[in-house]
Amino acid sequence: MKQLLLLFSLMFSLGANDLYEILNHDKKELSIVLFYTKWCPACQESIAILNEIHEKFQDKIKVIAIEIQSKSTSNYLINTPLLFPSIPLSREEATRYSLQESVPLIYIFDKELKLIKKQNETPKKEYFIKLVTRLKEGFLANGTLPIEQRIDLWKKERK
Amino acid sequence: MEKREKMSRFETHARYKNKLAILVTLLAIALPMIHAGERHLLLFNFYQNRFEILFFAFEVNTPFLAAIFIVFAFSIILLFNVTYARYFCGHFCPKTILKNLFREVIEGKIFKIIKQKNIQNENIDKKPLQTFLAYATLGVVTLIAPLPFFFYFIPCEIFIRMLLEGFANAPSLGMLYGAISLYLFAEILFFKEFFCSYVCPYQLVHAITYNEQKSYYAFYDKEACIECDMCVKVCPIPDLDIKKGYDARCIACGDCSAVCADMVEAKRATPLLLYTDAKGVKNRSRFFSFSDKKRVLLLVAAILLASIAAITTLASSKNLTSCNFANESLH
Repeated sequence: MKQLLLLFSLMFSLGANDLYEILNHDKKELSIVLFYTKWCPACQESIAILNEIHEKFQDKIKVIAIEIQSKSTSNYLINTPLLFPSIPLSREEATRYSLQESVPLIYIFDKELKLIKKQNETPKKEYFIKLVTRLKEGFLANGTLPIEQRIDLWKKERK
Repeated sequence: MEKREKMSRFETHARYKNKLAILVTLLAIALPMIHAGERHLLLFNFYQNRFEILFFAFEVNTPFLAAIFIVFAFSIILLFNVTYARYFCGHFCPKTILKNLFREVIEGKIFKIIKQKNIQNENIDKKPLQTFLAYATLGVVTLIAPLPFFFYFIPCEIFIRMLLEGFANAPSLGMLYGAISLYLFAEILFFKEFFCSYVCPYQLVHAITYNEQKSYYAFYDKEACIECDMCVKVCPIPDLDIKKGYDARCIACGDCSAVCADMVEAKRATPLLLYTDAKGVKNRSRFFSFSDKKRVLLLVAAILLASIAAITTLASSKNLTSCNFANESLH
């Protein structure tokens, strides 16, 4: 309920720190932020994939969409319903989140809200599944062990 | 008086070639510039990620756009190969046109280093100042020459803006531009026809699709030959003797045929070198490289269909992985 209220209040103004606030509010293992527009066929596909991810890993992954508003002169409009919350934002304001020439723009954050990945194209479902299993097994997002758990063999052999 | 008459066939041939060259050059320069609103007649727009053809535009991501360009270029190569064959090389090829511009206009007419095509002028006078000036002019020409090529990939006004900025935001593009113009300069001066004979993809496709019905310039009446060797002297390709038979390096420029017509005119009505094929069908239509017209038309239709099918699948919006804000109106 609290989250909904927060989202509702942010629908009107999304400041520089607001995205961080939303992400900070109900932390999950992974947070995905998607910037999309309604006229873009690549965004339609991204939404379909993120819908699946959202349904499959509801307790582990938090998905937030940010719709870049436009004049929408195009005939093509996305008809897939979003299963995750969506916040409207103008393109000028979105440049604060380093949105440039193209959509979709996707950010993936870990539990500490550290940026794992930023990509400017349709995501792959396999990547998220791999990411979730890696984190579950205690690995870092890139597939390596955390620094304190690493065994430096050359140091051991020296002694 | 007699001499002037002898030169006439070669001159009319040269004049025809020059007219064709001007037409092709103008067409090649104008093609990517023609546009209706935002949409061009033909443009592989790598700047805004779209493929524009016949005033239609499709948003395509860079790797797919590159694939579309490769399919398009290859289908053009195949189309010319089944119709004009190597007649294309001697008459339409932009590089041949540039080479002829240097040899005939810059070296021949402006600085008068060599007479046109070395005819009756075996001893070339060495003129160092004129040679240097000719090379300098060639340098300027090769600096401008790659421009129309780049206009096929980046809208001309945007490319010119980038050029005036000194490619500050796109240094790799600037390097590519420099490399191409340097290469053109080097090729016209040093490599000459080496590229056409051994590297050019058009020639390679022509070589692997050799067919005995394909047309080329052939020497067919050895007994009537007056052995003036003009056909060998006039040939732009070094060490090519057309009298020895079919040669894969021949670019079908037709100079030998025209000069032969002049030389034997006193004796015979027809020249000894004609556009023909291995089966001896003489003075064939330029368009039908295979003498079988049905076969040519069938091949053209097949290549057109295949390339259209390939390009439409590549340009489909299903392949999109990201969309540019500039292309909002295309969807």
